[in-house]
This record gives sequence, C-alpha cells and structure tokens, in this order.
Amino acid sequence: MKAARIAIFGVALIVFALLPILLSGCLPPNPEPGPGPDPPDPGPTPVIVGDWYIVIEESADRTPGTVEAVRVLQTSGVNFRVYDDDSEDAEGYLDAVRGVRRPALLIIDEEGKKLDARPLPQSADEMKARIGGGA
Amino acid sequence: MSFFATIDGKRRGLGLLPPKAGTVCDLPVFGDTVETLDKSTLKRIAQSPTSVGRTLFDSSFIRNQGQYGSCNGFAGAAALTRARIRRGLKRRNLSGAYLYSLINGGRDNGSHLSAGMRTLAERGCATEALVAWNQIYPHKYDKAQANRQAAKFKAFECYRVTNEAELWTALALGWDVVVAVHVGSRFSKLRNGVAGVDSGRGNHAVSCDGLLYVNGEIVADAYNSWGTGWGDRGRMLLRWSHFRQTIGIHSFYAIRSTTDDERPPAVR
Repeated sequence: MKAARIAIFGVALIVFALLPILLSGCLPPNPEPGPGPDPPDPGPTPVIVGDWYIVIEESADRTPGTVEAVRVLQTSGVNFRVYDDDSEDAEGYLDAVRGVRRPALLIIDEEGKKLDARPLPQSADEMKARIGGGA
Repeated sequence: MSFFATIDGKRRGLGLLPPKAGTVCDLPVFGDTVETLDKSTLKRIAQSPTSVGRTLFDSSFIRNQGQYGSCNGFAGAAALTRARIRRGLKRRNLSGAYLYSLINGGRDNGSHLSAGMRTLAERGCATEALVAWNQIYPHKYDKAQANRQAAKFKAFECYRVTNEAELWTALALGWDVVVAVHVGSRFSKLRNGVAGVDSGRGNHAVSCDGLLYVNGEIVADAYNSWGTGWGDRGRMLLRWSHFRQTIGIHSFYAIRSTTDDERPPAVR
C-alpha cells in the first residue's frame, strides 16, 4: 500500500513538473516587444549643391513628374543637362549613375567630382528640396 | 506656293507642301515608342503653369519669315532652338532660312514637313548669325562654314505624331512638335488667344511648345513665324480642330532630344 502511494506521488510529481511543457502549445505566443523609444528623426533629405545637375533618362519612359522636376532646373538658372541614356553624349556619365533607377539625377562639381547620384525627384517641390530651392 | 496678307497688310508666304502621292514616311511613330497619357492626366497637366510654352520662351524667340515660303524651315529651326534650351544648352538662334535652303530644291516654292524633320536630324541647322532670315539659297551664304556649324546643332531622333493623343502627350511631356495648319481668312482672327479654324489640307507649318486648358478643352500653345506683330505677340493657341484635317496628310513630328555642342565636365 505504501509502495502504491509512493508510485502515485511520483507520477503526480512528474506530471506537475511537465505541466508547463504540456500546456505551452496552448498558450498565446510571447507578446511583441513594446514600441520602445522612437528612432532618431532622419531629418530632411540633405541638400546637395553642385555645379552641374545631370539628368539621365530614357525619354520614351518620361513621366509628368520628370517634366516637373526638369522644369525646376530650366527655371532656376543652374547648369544642367538632360541626356537620353542611349545617346552617345550620355556615355561619359553612365558609370556614375550605374545601378540608380531611371530617371537619375547626377550632381557633380565644376571639376567633375561626383557629389550625388540618386533617382530624380518626381515633383517640383521634391526637386527644389533636393537642390536647395534652386541652388 | 500661296501667300497670305496679314492684318497689317504684309505679305507672308505659305510654304507647306503636302507629301507627294505615294510617299511613305518610315520614321518611327511616337505612340509606338511612348505610352500616351490618359485624358484626365492630360487635362491636369494642361491646367498646370509648367506646361505653358510661353513661360519658358518669351517673345524674343518669335521670328519672321517675311514673304518667303520658308515656314517649314522656321518652324523646324525654332523647335530645335527650344529643344536645346530644354536640355540645358545655351540659346542659339537657329536659322529657319538655312533649314529651308536645304529642302527647297533651289526654288522658293515651299517644302514638306518630313524633309525638315530628316534634315534636322541628319545635317543639323546653322545659326542666324551665319544665315540671315532672307538667305534662303545656299549660294547666298558661306555654305562650307554654315554646314560645319550646322553639324553641331542636330535633333536627336524625331518621331511622327499621328493622332490627338500622341500630340497632346508629346507636348505634355515637354517635346516640341512641328505641325501643319491651314491658313485662310479666319486663321488670324484670334479669340481668347485661339486662332480661327479654316478648312483645308494644310498650307502652313508652325510649332507647338506647350499645352493649356481653355474653355473646357486642351489646346496647344503655339507660335508662328510672322513676327511679334501678328497674333498674340507672335503666338496663338490651336485646337484639335486645327489639326484634325491636316494630321493625316502631313507628317507632324516631335523632337525627342538634341545633340550636344558643349558638355559638362567629365566625371572623375
């Protein structure tokens, strides 16, 4: 009788010990961590002031947004050029915008040093912000 | 070639000839290369000030062909002048008389739109500094010097514009388009800036450099080559009804881009 009691007690102990493991499949997953502190504000897109603003586009794919952005260059008095990426004249600038989505905006200084190469903004406001309100 | 007397009594040549029967223009069609914009997008762009050609190109760009039938040369040269500026190149006043001299066959008897288009792309256009407005024959100017200079100022690919959607899209996307209109007794009577519509197959070439939205319809911002005393300081607005009757006859063309005569510094 004593042996039976000990056996029951042992089984109960084992079951109790295993209970959290047996129930874990039914428990809700661990809650997501809280939002935590806000990431630092990246701030406005930096203004890149250069001596030349070069647009490399495929003119067959030109969008109204591209026209707006180029109009900012046309009316702001900066040095700029718009090239078709399949024109011979564009060849000297293609390496500098390799991997950049078209249309691309390449900014260089007066000696040809590359300052920036990113996709061309698709609105007048974004373009002004990129080149500093008309440079 | 016919003539037209403007309100100020001056005689202006109308020098646009229809293509010869059986002529097939093999140049690429705009709509085969560029996706045309839908009507609501075109309307939105036409209502935007950025689409208005005259805000970029003031009346100092207006030229006068005088009594010669050189409209096609003037329209093409002016369109290329503008296309260069749109790309950031310095202003060079390209000569309509030079372009006409290359396509008139040695007689002041008009020319075809398609001939102007090909010549701008293949040979380019000299400046007015070398070829004045009335030098419409090569023996009137220094041919070698002018041809050398012209090679620096070329169109880079032109596209035929064959319907309304292509025309408005080309203008909305900032391409300059050379077109044919028919000039009769109504054309010079502008109402709200819009030229009158005459019936005919097209006897005059002009160019368009933008879009506007006027009286509930999209119209082309266009300029003539009859001096600033004509129209709205040399300009007019053109409706689709100006082109409906001529676009199937003449090869309207849009200038895609231009070649460079000067370049930014090479990238290091």
